[in-house]
Amino acid sequence: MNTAFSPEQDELRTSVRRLFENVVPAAVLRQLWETETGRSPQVWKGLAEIGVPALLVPEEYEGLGADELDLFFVLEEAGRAALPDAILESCVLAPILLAGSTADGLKRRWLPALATGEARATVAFDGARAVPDAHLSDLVLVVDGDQVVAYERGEVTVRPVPSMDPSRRPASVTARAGSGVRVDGAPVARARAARLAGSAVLLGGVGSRLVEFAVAYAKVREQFGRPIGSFQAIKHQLATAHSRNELARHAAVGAMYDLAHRAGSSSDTAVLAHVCALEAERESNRVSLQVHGGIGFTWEHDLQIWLKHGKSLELGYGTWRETAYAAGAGTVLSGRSEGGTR
Amino acid sequence: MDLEFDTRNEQFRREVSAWLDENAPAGRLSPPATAEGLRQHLAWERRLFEAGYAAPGWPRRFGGLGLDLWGETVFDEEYVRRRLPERLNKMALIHGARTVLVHGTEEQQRNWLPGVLDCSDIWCQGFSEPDAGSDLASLRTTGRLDGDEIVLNGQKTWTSNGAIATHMYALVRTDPAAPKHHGISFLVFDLRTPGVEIRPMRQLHGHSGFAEVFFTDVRVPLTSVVGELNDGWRVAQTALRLERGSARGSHTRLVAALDALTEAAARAGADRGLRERVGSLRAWVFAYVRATYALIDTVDRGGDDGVVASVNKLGLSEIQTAIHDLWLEVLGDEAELVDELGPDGELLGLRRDYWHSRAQEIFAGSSEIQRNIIAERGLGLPREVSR
Repeated sequence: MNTAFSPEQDELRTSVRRLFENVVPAAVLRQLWETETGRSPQVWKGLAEIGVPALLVPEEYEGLGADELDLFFVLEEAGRAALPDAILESCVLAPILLAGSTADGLKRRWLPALATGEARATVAFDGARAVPDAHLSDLVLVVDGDQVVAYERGEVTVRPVPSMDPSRRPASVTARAGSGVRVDGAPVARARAARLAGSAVLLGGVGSRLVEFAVAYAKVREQFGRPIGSFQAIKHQLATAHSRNELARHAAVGAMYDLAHRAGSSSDTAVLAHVCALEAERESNRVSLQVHGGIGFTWEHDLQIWLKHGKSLELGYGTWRETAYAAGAGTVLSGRSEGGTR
Repeated sequence: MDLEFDTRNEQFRREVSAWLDENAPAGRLSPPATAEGLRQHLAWERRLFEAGYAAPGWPRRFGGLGLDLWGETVFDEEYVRRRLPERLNKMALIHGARTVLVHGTEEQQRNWLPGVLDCSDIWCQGFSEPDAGSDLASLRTTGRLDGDEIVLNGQKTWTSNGAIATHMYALVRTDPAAPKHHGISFLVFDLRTPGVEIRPMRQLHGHSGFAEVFFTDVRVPLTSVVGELNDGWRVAQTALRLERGSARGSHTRLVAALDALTEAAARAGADRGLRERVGSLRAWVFAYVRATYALIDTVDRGGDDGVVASVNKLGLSEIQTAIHDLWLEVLGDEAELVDELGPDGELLGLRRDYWHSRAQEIFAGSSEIQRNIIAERGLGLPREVSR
């Protein structure tokens, strides 16, 4: 067994982290709240240069033919950076749905364009009322049950809907009657698993960053004549949140690994990883604001960017109640946990 | 990344499984603190020893199979999965003898390890004292140097297996003038030496696994010291880390508890809320299993695991307790009505496991100590007081 990521995967992490630090630092994220699209074109340009949108596109469609595990660090860094762009939809879910389908025409038309970053895509699941980045997607894949329909930009009406997170910019999508092309044979179950596992990785990135911020602040903020981080009341909350983030991360790695190498278990482990990620991020979100105290509750403080991004991810990909139910439902019925150690 | 056991280990898993299925004792053994129970446990240990399974991770020259951590993990998983008797020499196998394997001299290894392997010696751990629990480094049992002997005075307590042990590995203060963490030595010695008094204690769930051990001018040879004199704190860290981190089947036990909870929930006709809670625990068990394998991989490669052992131990305690709490809640008064008691009125089955999960939040460094370690050594937060 080898639980480590490869040197190439580590390198990719470094490149992606550097890109996000350069083009979307907190000050820029704030500026983007006021712009029309709310997105920096530098992000997608930079991602395309690194090859991120090409990772899950097969080589025959000018992609890199990598697997979901290669996206782990990309998603984790996106979470850490509170990146507003719909990287999960465009770089993971859309390529999975298209590449695994039998719709050759669609594949030829879209996969190379997605790989180069010329085109962006989003995916709307089961009548979603808030679709990420629909306002700047060239392709909208609408998943309903096990059916998928592909719409081009001109075939849908996109209306902004509110969000707690000023970075998010979700929209409702209404397709023009009679438009769109069926994506035959699309691997919907795989895409659903990737959505749960991938959003677990995003949540993990946000949660670990929130704890980092709080730890850094607790080292310098003094009360009662010493750093507040020296008090166990603070220390223990941070240690607990950190410990949950660490365990949840192992679950997320396991789920992404299954997508790449053990497709048979991936639907189940994606649900499990998502539950852990939700709980760990929720605790990190709570502790982080608590440790910052009043300063963290001001509009000027950047903590709000991550707090809101985390909450929005918590609600956007399946709530705790529905995911935990999915994790427990079948097993409680059959009376077996199937939580085998293998 | 490759999250599969390799073919060699899978082959070993098949061998172990076949042997255990063939040889496992039928039914429950009596507690080892009873004469009959000790006889039964020794007979079972003898079979393991003869098959080469007493300590598969030890080097071959000491009677092990020379397996790496993965091989040991496979063995532990299969052993725990079958709910076979708790190992008589578990304290030695988990830490005492391991510390000797890492820090002991060739002579110490030759003298002590064979007796552990065939259970002619049974080891207990002498770390905790009445005034040194979480604050272990403040321990007061003294070891005064006298020629080529060390003279022990003091007391150890909450000593698991103390009532049946022949040997103790202990931390004692050999330099009272040195600062707290210095001046402590790690010793292994025979408990049948004059001046040792062992008083068995019962644990709250009725099991007689505990003892208090008193030392009055107990003379042990200087060769009892493992590693350097006064370097015992560092020497012991190996054992503590192993105790917290190396699983030894803890992940398999967690899965077994989850299975039992799931069965109980299904019988109770789980409503939506219960399914959600079971689902959440299932998720964390999955996370813990993955975290365990990652830690084993790190240690197996000789990497520094930092505070991962503490992170995992804290997680294990929280998940284990949550599973057992929910289990009791699902069974309701049925859990009270179970007529499952040992010969001395000790609780067995679920209720023993429940209380054991509560104990787990205390032993091997309480959850609060783990949080301090994670916060200070892992996150770099300042210490609260000078410790």
